[in-house]
Amino acid sequence: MKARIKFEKGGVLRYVGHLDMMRYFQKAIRRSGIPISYSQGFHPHQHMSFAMPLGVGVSSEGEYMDIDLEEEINPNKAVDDLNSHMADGVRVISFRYLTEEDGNAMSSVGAASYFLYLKGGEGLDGDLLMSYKNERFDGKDKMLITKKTKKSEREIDLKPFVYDFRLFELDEDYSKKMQSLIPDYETNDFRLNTGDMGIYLLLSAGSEENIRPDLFMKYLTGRKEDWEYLPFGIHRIDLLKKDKDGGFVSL
Amino acid sequence: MGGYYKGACSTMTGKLALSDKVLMRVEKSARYIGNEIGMIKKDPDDVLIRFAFCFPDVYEIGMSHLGIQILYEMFNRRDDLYCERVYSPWPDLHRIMKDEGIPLFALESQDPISDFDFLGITLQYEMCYTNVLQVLDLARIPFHATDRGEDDPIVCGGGPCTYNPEPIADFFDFFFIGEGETEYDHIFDLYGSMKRSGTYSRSAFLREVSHIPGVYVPSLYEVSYNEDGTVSDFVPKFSDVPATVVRQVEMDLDNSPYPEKPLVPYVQATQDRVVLEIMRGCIRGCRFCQAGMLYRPTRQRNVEVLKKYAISMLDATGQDEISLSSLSSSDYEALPELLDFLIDECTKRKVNISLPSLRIDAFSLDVMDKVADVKKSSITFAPEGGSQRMRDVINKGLTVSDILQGATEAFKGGWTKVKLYFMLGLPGEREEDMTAIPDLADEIAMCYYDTIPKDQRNGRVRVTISTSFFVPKPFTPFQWAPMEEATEYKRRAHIVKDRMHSEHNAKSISYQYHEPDVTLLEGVFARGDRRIAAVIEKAYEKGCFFDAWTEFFHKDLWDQSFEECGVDPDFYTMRERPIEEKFPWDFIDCGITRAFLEREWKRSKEEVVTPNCRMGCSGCGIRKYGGGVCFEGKNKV
Repeated sequence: MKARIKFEKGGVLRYVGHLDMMRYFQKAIRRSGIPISYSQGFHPHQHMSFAMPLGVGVSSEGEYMDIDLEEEINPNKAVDDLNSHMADGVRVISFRYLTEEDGNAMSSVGAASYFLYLKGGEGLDGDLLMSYKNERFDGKDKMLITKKTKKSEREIDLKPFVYDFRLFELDEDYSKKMQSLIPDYETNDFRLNTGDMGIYLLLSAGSEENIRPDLFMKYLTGRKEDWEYLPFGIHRIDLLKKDKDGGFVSL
Repeated sequence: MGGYYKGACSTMTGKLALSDKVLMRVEKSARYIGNEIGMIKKDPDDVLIRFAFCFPDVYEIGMSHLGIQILYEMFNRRDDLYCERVYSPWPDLHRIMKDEGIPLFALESQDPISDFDFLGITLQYEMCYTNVLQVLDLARIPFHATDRGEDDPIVCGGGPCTYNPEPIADFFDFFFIGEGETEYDHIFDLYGSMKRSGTYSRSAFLREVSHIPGVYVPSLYEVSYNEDGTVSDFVPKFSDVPATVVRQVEMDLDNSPYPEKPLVPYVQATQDRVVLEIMRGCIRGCRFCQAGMLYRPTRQRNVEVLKKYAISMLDATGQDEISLSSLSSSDYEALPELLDFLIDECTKRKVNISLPSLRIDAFSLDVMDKVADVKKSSITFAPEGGSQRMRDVINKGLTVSDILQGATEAFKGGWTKVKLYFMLGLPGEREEDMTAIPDLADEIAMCYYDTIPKDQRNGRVRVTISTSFFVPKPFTPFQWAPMEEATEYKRRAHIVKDRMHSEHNAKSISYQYHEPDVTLLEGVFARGDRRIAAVIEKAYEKGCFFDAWTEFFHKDLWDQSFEECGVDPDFYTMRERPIEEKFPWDFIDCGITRAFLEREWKRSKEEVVTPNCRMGCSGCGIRKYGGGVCFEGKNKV
């Protein structure tokens, strides 16, 4: 029996990296008594897989992991049990059983949506972003950039993989939500107040072509820095898969 | 508006001492965010006493230490105190904190250390001494206790290195010598009452606290030296200050605090598991081993209490591994019962059991067969000395036949990997003791080929030899022993290596040894006096810290520091010290008598072994504590 857990990650926990986060959840599941199934052998490990890693410093309201269960449990109770064993900053949003049609989380990811906010004091503002958009995105046929991975370095065209890109002003609700997810926003001069300029991105993700938001922003701004030096923060909104009609739906 | 904010703990509001900009640019930023499962949350405004507990090494090492977790639990049981944690910032963050003037902070509240009443530093190994200065530096606390003002935290130290605290005495307001469970409540009670009554001043408190058993306030003692450089006199400056500081021992372990809900770090700790301390002390009496002397008498925890701890720790943490901790687990009498329980419980929970320091015999092999994959795991022997003569010198009661018998059993059980630990540079070591090391490894390899028929072998047997260089420690029978020059250590390692290559089964044996430079510095710190403090300070100024990490150890900077301070390191390491020499640590009464240590030093030279505590009492003096192994039924005098 397979179940998919959706959770959000913010607060100080956004500095916990992916591998540490996996170990965190392995322990949280033990603490909460969820009857997860284990592999055989002397060092049994939990049947658990994450849809996609989340970078250090990135917050998210749409993270997913699949687990195999030994026995059926009540989904609402599972959410409560898990949440009573979470650290501040991580919250389980939902728990649902997977059906035949659901693939596993990792292989079904096709896109990821992001909200990017400005980090203050770095000379990047809404007007400048708007001009970059006009110049380098709107009406462009090709968006070429060098993509570096640990193994290779190749030039790719981002155009077919950027499904959506919009600039918008934060409304009060979204501003409040982000502020609660990143409570230290003010001391860090993160622009998360109502009316601040935000960026919405829908990018190809997963095994086919994984485009990180910072790669797109490097293209857009022409900056060369590693992403931890770039003047905007990243928040993942959701992970999505292709539906039958070619659109995207939440995992 | 106070009402709303007062109740909220700062960590819940996401307060961090480091900005996003800094956290994004350092390695493993989760080292610095606190907020772990098991972290104790209090409002600092609600307490009278704030205590910052420091392990002066990187987070992953510090978080693996059981002692801090025990005291963290105990201290935080007090309503009037909030105990928080602090570790050494890694060099990448250190640089940023220095450049940007960021003060060192505690993980729980993220508040600067300078806001605290106490900074308690555990001293687990000598090579952390420069890290002590790093912590003081980043916390903006003057290095020298005598330079500190009323607003600076009281800096106190504990742990095994306090059995010769003299090289770092200048940097501490006081040391607590012994097991922290015993007296810290009295120390806090004193501090609290002086604060409340308005009688507190730094000097008045230090004077008062010196009356508490186990407390040593270095500034209240005067040291003088002979012309030859040895200590001539060590006396209290005032008549009410005790001339001898007596080590304090927790004799009721079953009713003392234990962290049943230990902290669960995000960053993978070196020991990423829950730890069950089954026993304190060791009955064996190996003459090189400081822990074996210092933590006497051997005290076993009650097996029922341990079962309860194991369950509550696993429940509270969700850890997938449990490790038994003691100096010699095989000497824990209820081990079979405990292991039966753990194997049963851990199999149900899919929890691994890790069993260090087990003597290899039929029983332990049977247990290991149940808890580990024989094909992947290895069996470990620590003969320490290669020859029987050397093992007699060091009183290591392990014979070649014990080892071969254990190995044979293990080979029959399917094991093919053997690890062997030895020390080089032990007192009176001869070339034949060195060559005996690979000879023993060869015998073990031979034993495999003799035991397991060719058609049943799973490839070649792998025997790994590791050697470290011996460092004489205070309060051991070898506290009088000389060390060797670095070149001599290297020569000895090469003798082992060359001999290994000529062994019949050389292809089955491998050899690793540690570099000797750090060893010699450790030797100076271990048996140094107050004059070493200047050298440590100089070396820190030159950029030395994280000396325990090979990549950060700069021998040249240390050499320069000794020279510039006019301190000859050889004085502390190269002499065989005369039996009557007054040592810098002689003011400490650690429980075992000088007469016993002298007797043991003499017996080692005569290559005579001394029976372990259960075979018979050797009169080390520890009976005065009134418990433990000294009073087990079979050991009545």
